[in-house]
Amino acid sequence: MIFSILIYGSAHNSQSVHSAYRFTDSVLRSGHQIHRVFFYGESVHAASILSAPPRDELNIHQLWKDLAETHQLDIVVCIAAALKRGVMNEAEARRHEKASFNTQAPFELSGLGQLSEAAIISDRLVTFGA
Amino acid sequence: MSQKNILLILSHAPYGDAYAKEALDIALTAAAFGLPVSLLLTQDAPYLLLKSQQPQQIQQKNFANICSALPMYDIENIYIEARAAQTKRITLDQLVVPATFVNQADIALMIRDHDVVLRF
Repeated sequence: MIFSILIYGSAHNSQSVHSAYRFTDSVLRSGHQIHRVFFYGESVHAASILSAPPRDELNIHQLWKDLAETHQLDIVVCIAAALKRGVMNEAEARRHEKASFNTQAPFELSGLGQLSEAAIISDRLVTFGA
Repeated sequence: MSQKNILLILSHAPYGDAYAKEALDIALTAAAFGLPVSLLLTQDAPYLLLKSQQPQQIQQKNFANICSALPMYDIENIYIEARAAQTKRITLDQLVVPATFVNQADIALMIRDHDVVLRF
């Protein structure tokens, strides 16, 4: 079965992003496919490479990065939600004349059309809200 | 590509947080992709459709403008949880777009009949 994942809970103030990670990992372990993971709303902070939690706590950014690289996942961050929260890659930082950037591959910035496309392609779109 | 329909269930009031805005952005994009979109407004979300909202006083964009444009995006299936409307004394003539009141049983059928259900 083909799954896509929509996450919009807070990256650091809710269980949402971690639950989505555990679910995605289980889907892959069970032999199903992940078409796309879409980060929306407050969850976009999970894409920040500058996140530096205490060593004895989960690093939610690193977990997603490792999972995405292991399985070649398409992990998309809503560009509008990200830019207004100060999450941007090198190209967007240059375009908006910002001094630095804080996200990079495997996280991709793209539009909500990627969510609609995922809803069309996938057998199941599973949401992890607030 | 097979045609899939989307039901967005909104429950938050328009201006206290970003949920309503983010849900409507999904609705408009999905409609632009040609997906049939239904909106169900529950709890505090029916306030989104009021003609009389005045968010300029708190420097916010008016949801009435976005919502009145929904039919232009072919989003005409707009439903309001009747119980929510009753407790808030909201009537259809106060709204910027035509909408339909639905009860709990109708909502159960709507969730069953849609391929994708998103809650905001």
